[in-house]
Amino acid sequence: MKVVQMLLAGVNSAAFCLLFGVPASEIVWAGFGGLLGYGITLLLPVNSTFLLMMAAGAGITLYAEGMARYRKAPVFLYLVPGLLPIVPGGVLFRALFGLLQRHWQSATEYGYSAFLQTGALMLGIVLTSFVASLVKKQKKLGQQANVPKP
Amino acid sequence: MSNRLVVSWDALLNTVLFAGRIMLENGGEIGRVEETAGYLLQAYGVNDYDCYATPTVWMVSFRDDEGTNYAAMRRIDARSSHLSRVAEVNQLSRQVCEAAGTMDLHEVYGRLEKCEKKAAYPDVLKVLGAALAAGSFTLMINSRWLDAVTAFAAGGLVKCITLYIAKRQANTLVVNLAGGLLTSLLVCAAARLGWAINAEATLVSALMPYLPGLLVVTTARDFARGDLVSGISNGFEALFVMLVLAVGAAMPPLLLAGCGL
Repeated sequence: MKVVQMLLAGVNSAAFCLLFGVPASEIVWAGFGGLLGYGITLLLPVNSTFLLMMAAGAGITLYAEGMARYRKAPVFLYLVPGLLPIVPGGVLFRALFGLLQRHWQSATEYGYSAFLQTGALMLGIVLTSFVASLVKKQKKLGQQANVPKP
Repeated sequence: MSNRLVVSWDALLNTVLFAGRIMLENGGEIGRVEETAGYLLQAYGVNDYDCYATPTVWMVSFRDDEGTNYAAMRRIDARSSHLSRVAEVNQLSRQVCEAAGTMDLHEVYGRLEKCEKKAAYPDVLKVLGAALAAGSFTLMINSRWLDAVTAFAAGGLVKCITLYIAKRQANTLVVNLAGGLLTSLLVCAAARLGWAINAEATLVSALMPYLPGLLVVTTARDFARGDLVSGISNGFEALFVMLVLAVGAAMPPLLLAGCGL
């Protein structure tokens, strides 16, 4: 069952690739990112949504940064479709929907959940992106040091 | 270094601005745009430069060897997501860097023009993408085949209409309002006819293609890099798009309830 769900998440990511105009050659790779991210939220034995979302965000960002270096393409091609199956859009939507229908209880509950999940996801992305940029910067500095001065 | 072309600084400035504008108009992230501009300038021997990109304004300024300043800015009007064009510009900037300034600027400009006109996916594939995104998400969250078929059909149908609207008037808010409203209308009707078991899950899934996912990710990346202005404006746009979507989607159920149906 979980395997089927993960495969569906991959299909979901690939479908978003068509919407965002990801080049045809990268669709399979980007779809795999979605499978990976959803797999992390399903399979990781952690009983906390916050940690799960953070791990998924970090995992997908790591995968996207790696793929970008391997395939020599922008990180975005893999990051955006990969994250979409787990972005808590449905929860945020339910919160706003509750707000408009004056169901205060569901509005606050879903709103809090959406806020927490989006925050965790962003934290995962931000931290991993930051570490990746550090690695990149160090490489660049090293290269400059090797260039003989004129 | 010696075989580097002597370039006209104005042509270089135009080329860099054009490359950045293509990326910004097609969903490239701020950090990527500024880095690419820096690589292009460095390839032609400019080391004293500043680039500043936001979702709506894009400016480049640099100083040549004699100390003369050059600066220009472009306004970014229409923004959409064609990531393949961003990838293409990225590829071109990589080649320019490898050539280390020996590539003719006219050639670079010409290839950028080709990047800008690079065909996006045909509408049929976009509709299929929206339908698939909606249908597969239904199965991911509650695995009812009937709901998935309804969400698939609603997602595809509404995408046809919003693509048509987007071609007439390129305003994201109008497109999202229409998307939310029509999707909700279709799913409500389907639920009345008994074609959706869990109407709420079907509605949320059918709205998946309109989620501002690109904006959410951009916001996170901007803050990670320290681009506060872009981060805030992208984050606020994401929230605004969600709100418009929710208002559109809430109208049909509220009206139905108001009419006592």
